[in-house]
Amino acid sequence: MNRYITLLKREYWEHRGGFLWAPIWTAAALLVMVFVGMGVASWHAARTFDGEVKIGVQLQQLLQKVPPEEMGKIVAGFEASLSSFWAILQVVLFFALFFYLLGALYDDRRDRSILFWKSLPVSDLETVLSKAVVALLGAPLIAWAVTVVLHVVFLTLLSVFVLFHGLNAIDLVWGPAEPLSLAIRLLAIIPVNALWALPAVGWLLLVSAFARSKPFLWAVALPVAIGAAISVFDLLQALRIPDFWYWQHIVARILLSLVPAGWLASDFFARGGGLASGDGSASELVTWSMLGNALGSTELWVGVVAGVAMIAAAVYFRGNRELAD
Amino acid sequence: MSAVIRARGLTKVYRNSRALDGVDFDIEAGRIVGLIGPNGAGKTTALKAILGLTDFTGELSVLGFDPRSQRTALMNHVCFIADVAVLPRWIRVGEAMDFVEGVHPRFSRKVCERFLAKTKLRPAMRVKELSKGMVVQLHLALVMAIDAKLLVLDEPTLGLDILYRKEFYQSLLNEYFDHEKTIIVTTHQVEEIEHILTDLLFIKDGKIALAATMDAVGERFTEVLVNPDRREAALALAPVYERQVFGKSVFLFDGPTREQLAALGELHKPSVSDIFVATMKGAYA
Repeated sequence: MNRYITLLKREYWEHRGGFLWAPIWTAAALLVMVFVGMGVASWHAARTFDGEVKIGVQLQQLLQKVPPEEMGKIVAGFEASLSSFWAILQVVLFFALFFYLLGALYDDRRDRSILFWKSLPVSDLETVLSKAVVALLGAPLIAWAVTVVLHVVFLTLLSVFVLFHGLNAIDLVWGPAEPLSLAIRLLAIIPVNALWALPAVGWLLLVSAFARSKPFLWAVALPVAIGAAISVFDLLQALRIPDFWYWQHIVARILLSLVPAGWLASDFFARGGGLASGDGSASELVTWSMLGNALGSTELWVGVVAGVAMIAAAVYFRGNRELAD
Repeated sequence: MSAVIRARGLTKVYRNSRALDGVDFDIEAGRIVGLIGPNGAGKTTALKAILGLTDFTGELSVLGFDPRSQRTALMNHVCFIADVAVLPRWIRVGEAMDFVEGVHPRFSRKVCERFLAKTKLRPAMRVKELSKGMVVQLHLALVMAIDAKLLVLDEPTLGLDILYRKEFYQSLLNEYFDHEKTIIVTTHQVEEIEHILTDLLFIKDGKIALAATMDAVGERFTEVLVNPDRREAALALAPVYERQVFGKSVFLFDGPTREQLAALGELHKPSVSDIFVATMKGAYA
């Protein structure tokens, strides 16, 4: 057990810049923007109402008279703003993961440090799996933890702001924001994301283990060039398969499945572009039923199989490819 | 004594060349073997085959393992230092220790820390901040803290100054080597290691050119400083090499006894480099 933890730690040591510090700095930047925004708002409020902030009491009264459906809008607003923080951190995570995976089995062949790693009793399977696990679960969990901290700090800032104006932070902020519910749902997304991302993780690891040089070109240019050729020659058209199919199910899956909650888009298209229907709370951007739909889709599981096959191929090349020069 | 490494018909073909061409050799336990050959002779390929880092044809058994299919198990008993640049640049000294401790059942952190205490290395330092000599000190400390049966060194002191080179081999010999262990070393600085070697393995164009213990080499090879008037007599004994020094000829003989040669002139014990040069005649031609 200890050795597997060591393998995961090794990845973290090498990549803590991308996995830990990049989301932390992004979160810090977001909080600074929020803070400045609130400062501007206070300043505006102070000017507009000439310093005599009686609106506190008035708002409080207003709040008590807020009809439930209006309260629902506040809830939806919080869900949207907290989710957008999450989304921004997920974009950072996407880039960190993409380049992490491309280099995972390539960089050490280029700088020859693979000779050191291979001089230790760690099998190629263990090495490749440790990298896949970090990409599928480790890094997303770190990003999730940073997101939760960001949400809490943001809501705390907001509470201070609200209290400062004499309002009840529990009713106005912590209640409607439902940070715990959101955190749990965002955590539940991670394993679904991991399954969905398997083809991309597999492809990038495969290229990383296979390429003798320029893994980025291999990873991106190869499928895109094939797609272009297909589109130009209408090869698949002749086979009665629309070329859009190739772009959507091959290129997008092996390159973009790392985009968090990418399966939502698939879900979205599958329902013909309608908004999340189903289990009531329309305010929630991610619902449990969506997770269920995603887990029930054939597309997800076909991708899982393809991803596992590509990871197996990456293990093979890890054992048989020599140094990259 | 049982063979630690046994190779029969070991062959490795790259696209355009045969790096190893049907090589046979045995390496016994408790030896320090110098694997010596010119650039491109197949030394590194042989080491890679031993370490399971490359595919090959023929038979090769290392500590009873097949390196092709049992690399992971083999690596519990084998350590490897290639030339200086292979420790990952981003890793910290402490992390390197943590990692090896985590994955290697035969690593002793105490021993490693004891070796590191004799250097200027500190746990928080990163490899990329270290000089070449310090990187090798770190790698050596990691390796010496592993109780392995076989240590493979591929040009371990390349690019180091003389102080680091001396220290490297001294600590290896004094604090690591014992008769349970076997060391294989390749280097171009033959003269610096010849006094520690017990066996020589010369490799030329993918073939073994000489395989002998140092004792046997001492008996087989004799160097004679011959005056010009005795040159013909010397040539009659089929020297393997001749060079000129101050108008005299220095002949290297493989075989004839010292008694036979004493009449020709002054006898010397040849250095390994002299034997190497004689054996590798025409290697680059």
